[in-house]
Amino acid sequence: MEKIKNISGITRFSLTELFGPILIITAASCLIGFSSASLMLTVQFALCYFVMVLALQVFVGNSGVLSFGHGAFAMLGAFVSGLLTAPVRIKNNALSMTDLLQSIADIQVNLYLSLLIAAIVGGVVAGITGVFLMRLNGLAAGIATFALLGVAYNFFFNNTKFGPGSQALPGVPKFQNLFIPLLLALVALVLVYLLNVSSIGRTLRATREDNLAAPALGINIIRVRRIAFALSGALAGLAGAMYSHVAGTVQVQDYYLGFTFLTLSMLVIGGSGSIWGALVGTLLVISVGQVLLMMEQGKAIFGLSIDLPNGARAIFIAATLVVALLWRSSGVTNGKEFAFPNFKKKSN
Amino acid sequence: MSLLEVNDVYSGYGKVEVLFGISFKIEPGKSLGIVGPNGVGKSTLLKTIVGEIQPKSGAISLNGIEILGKGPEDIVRLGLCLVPEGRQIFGGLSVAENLQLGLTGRQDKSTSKKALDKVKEIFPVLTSHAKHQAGMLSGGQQQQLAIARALIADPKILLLDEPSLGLSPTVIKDVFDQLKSIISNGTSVIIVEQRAHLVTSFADETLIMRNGKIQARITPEDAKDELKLKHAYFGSDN
Amino acid sequence: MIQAILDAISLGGTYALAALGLGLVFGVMRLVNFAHAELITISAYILVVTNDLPLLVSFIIAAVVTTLLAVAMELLIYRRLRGTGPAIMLIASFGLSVLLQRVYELIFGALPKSAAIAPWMSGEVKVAGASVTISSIATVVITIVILLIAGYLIERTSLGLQLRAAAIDFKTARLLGVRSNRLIAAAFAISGVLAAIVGFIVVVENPQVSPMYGVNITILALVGIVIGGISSLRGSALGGFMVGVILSLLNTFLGNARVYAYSWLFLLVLIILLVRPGGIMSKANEMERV
Repeated sequence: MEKIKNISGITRFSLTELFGPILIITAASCLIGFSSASLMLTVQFALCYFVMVLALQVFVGNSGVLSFGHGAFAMLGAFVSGLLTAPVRIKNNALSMTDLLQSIADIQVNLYLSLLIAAIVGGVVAGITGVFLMRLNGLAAGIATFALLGVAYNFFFNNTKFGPGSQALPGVPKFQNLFIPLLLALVALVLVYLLNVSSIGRTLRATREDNLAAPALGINIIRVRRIAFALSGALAGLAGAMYSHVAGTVQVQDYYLGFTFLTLSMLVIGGSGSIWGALVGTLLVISVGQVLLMMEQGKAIFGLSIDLPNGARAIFIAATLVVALLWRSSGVTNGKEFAFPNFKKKSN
Repeated sequence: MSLLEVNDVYSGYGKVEVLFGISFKIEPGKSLGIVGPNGVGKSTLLKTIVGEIQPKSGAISLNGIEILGKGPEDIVRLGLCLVPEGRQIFGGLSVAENLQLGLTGRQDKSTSKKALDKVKEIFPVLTSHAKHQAGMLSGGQQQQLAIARALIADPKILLLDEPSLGLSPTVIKDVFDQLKSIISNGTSVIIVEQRAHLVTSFADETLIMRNGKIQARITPEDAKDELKLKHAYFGSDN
Repeated sequence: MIQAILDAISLGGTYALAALGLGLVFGVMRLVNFAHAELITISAYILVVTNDLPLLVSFIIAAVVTTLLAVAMELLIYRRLRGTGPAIMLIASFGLSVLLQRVYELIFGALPKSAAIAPWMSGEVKVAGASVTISSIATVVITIVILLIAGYLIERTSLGLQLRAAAIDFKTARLLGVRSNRLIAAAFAISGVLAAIVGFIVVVENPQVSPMYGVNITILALVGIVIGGISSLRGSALGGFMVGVILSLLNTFLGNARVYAYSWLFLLVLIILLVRPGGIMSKANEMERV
């Protein structure tokens, strides 16, 4: 029991744990976002990633069961929301979409509705696949979810009836301001926090699977994992949809291995056990990536100009993940929730 | 200097402490029993001795060599071999392959063949089943295979964790008879058992464990005194 | 027709070798080494950049570098992560895979590097009245020879016995004196040699080497392992072989729908995992015990 208590930070609702992250996200988004147009875009992307990392935290972080399949739900969300919101005129005339089903080409719905639909589709598909997948654990779960991602990628890459295939879907409306993605990220954060402190979250963490030799799964654990998987699928669908409305396009490659790797890295670097870890990981990877990107472009940072060869950024992120795992496999936050620094005594 | 000296060992898993100051010695060619109810730390003690878990404090030496901090694969080479609980033979491999694996921890490879022959002499059943999958053997045969596999490494001291588990009384008797001949060949034996009566009369000395400590040390003479034995085992407080 | 059969067998053989390399490492440390892909890639890169040297010399350099990289992975990274659990190790291997891809991109560039390796192999010979490429015959011969050698190593030598025992129960193997560090390093070294050979086989057929060159074959080999049963090396190799043959068949018979061959393959994997998590070679639910 000792061990379980140490793994998870959250046990009961605490205002600090919830509002700390909310304040930090809001402040960081506004301060950085309004400083330049290119940083505004970076912040918007960061918020999408954060929702995706939250989605992973709900399931992977709490249950300890690895999933490479969330990219599939994000992909689905992006295609659903992108296709629903792209103007009818573009869908009927774009060269990349001559095969598109007429019924899809003729629909157009409002951005907010399509985001909701994307989340629902992600949740429903995760719910259905979860019925089967949640019987697996350990490595089998990792491989099976990887297969799910493979099927989704192979389908969307080659299918031109339900999307642009390997090409980009043009004309996806972009978010008009920072506040919509910010609000969505905060809603996701609150939802995830509430789930984590609920009995479902506690059951998930109590039965966290840290090794392959986990005992046979009881029916109740499978049920709880299914619920978490469906919810995290919905959030992944939302994250994918948000990403399409920041990028202004949908391209299947954007949600494949690179995306899966990046978001899993964020979660693991930050610490998969808590939403605070999800936030720290996302912030860390994005800001390091941004600084390196500016170096690659030869821009001066704090008056310093360091030239980096192209590609250094990607190397650095991958190396950070590996080093972070070697240094502390439970992540920078060690799986703990946000707390104000306490100088009086070292909590244990 | 004794063959094996365990001195004031504290050990456990993570923050959970299981053993509190265990000390004992064993001389060459002697046998030692360790008994006690489930959960008193017998298996933890064995795991600590063979290097599977590292103790918090204390000292363990084998033939005067400090073995604390060494891994199981090195400790085998120094002459201490464990027959684990549940035997843990490789059921999917053949009997001959299981024996072959026992040679891994052997120091003197030049006499490997001789050692194999000698073990087959003690356990003739293993020769006739050499090609069979070890998993097809009966429980008693599997126990013999596990002991044989350990003996091939030519240990100075053999540790057995619950060797009677799942065996019928006649088979248990056979196994203990074989252990007797192993001891008479000069190998020391430590037997951990939940069923105290099997070892108290068999071993030169038996330690009774309770709550991670040694409660009593008894000789076969003491074992005849049923009441004393029961007190030590179940720990009545008076 | 003969060419089609040879293609199926040679593709199957190639995946079998890749699956064997992955399976060896998985057996001893329960790690799915995604970065196996980058071992295959580096072998192919080195064969391309040293193409001016005699083929044998070029291959030996590739094999040595690949094996060293495989052992370095274990010594520098996986060894330190032992005991952190399979999820962490899987993510680490994923990270290492991406890291190496980016390093290759930095060294060799993002665009494919190419060279005509063993050009004589693309010639054709007459077999039973039909003309087939030399490379497909060579691949079949190479894979059979390597599989036989690997089979001997695993079934008949002391190292092989230790590898099999450790794959079943590492704890007991250590109690018997199996040196875990050495054995795992040996498994990585063998998997490196196998990856180098796979790199050679694929680069002859397709000399356009890019940073993600080995990813596809590794994913498919992984699929094969899951189909055949990850807990047995024989199952892994057989599963890899089956994937190659199935893929060849799907490519031949699906016609225009062949672009969806991977989807069918992945669906097959999902179904097999659900019905028999330990692979079709195993008894039901063997996976639970690993």
